[in-house]
Amino acid sequence: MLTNEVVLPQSAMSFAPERPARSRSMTLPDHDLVIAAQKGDRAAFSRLYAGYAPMVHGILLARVPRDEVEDLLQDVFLTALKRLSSLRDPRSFGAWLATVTRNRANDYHRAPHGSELPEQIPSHRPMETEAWFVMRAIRNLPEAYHETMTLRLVEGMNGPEISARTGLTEGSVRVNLHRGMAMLREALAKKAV
Amino acid sequence: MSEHDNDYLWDKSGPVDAEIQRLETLLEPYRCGDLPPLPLPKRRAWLFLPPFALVGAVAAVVVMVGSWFVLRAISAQTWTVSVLAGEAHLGSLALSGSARLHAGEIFETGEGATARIRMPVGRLDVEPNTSLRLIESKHNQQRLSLLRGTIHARVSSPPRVFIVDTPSAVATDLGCAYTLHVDPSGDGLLRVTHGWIELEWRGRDSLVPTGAVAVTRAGAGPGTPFFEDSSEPFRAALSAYDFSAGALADVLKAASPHDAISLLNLVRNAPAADRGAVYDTLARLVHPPAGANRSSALAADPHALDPWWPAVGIGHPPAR
Repeated sequence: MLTNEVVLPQSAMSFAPERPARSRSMTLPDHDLVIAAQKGDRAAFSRLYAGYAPMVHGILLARVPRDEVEDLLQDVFLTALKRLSSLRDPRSFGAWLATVTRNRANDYHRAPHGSELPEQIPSHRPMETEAWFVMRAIRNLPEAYHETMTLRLVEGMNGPEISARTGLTEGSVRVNLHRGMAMLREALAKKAV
Repeated sequence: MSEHDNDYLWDKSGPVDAEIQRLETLLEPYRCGDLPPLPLPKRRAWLFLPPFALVGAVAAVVVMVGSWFVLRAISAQTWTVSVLAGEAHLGSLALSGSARLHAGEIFETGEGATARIRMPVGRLDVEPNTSLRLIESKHNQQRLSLLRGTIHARVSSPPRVFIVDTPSAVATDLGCAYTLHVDPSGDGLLRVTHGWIELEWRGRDSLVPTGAVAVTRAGAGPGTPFFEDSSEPFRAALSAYDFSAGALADVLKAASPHDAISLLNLVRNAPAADRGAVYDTLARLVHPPAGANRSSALAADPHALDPWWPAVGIGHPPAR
């Protein structure tokens, strides 16, 4: 039995980021997209969502269980939309969004959970099992490195992109990548032994 | 080559580092995939006002503070449904993206359609041909009715906050992940993948731990939980005892130590005349733990079986 209650049409309540935006925001640089989004241009925010989702995804993946990442990613962008008007420098959007993301991950760990659900551990396919162990090794790297390493190895971003998106200096990203990779090689070699 | 000379690591230029390339390939399944639609609240113009314009709104905000606290409490309990594939309906309207699910509304997925529902206490993955109704969403109780179909629940709330009504049982989450199916006749199947579920029906309740399943029948309620890798004779005897007036002796004869979880639930739910035989079989298959008390168990003392749960290797159920 269906209710007769009227709900808003879909177009008023959500958007799909892969859908081509119709406004001029299609071609704007990021800081102009931020300004447009601050003025209420949802197509511009859609572009930011599509462009920065891999960064947010990577930061979350480095910190919370994989199964929680998708939901938290949406939380992060909804929070960002609410707080966007408080961002003074549109050029610092990436760094600001990264901070929002880290805070959301911290909130996740602080929130009471009835019981901590385990990560899914693949057991039948050797490739998946190895990927799970590699991902765990990355998460176990020092905090300074695991985020940058996740963005590089999982999300496929290169060093300059990580710097541009997160607001970290290129020097910091380079150090994080090099030291993190050396530690990861060491950890994986120990496991192999 | 030192890491500092590794251009491939830095910007993917230079000679390919085979180990890094291997890790990239290996980790690709973890990469951010297709983005789900972002469920946006209805647009509120004040979100986009410049800061100075907000000054004039302060007085109005003061007046609205009381309302704000109420709205905040309500919004914290929001359920959002996102259709991932196929056709679905929210109430009488077709839904192809995301929307909020309000108490009293029915959400249905069609043939081949799937959806994800984000709840304040976790999430539900909804299989095709499923119909569910949100009963209530309060901070201390999140309740839905699964009318038919299949949901996969992943719940992170304290025990007893998330509850699912079905035509043949009430499933109360005790901190867990599980799959619940209801067929058109009202019969159901619960499969717990992590944690515990309590199934209740007309004063009779069963505790279903990780790895166990329980069948429910319309008009009869939940059957006794069992592990899916229990022997076929045991499962058949248990089903007959639960739903067809089969003989208890057949259940006890086919039971092995692996079936202790079923026997523990039977001690709780079997008619008083049967409990003694069930308890004695359990004590024969599993060495009675310290604190085990037969007479208390047969008298249906709710805590009499507490020492037994860890003794059969599944740990303590959450406080009840």
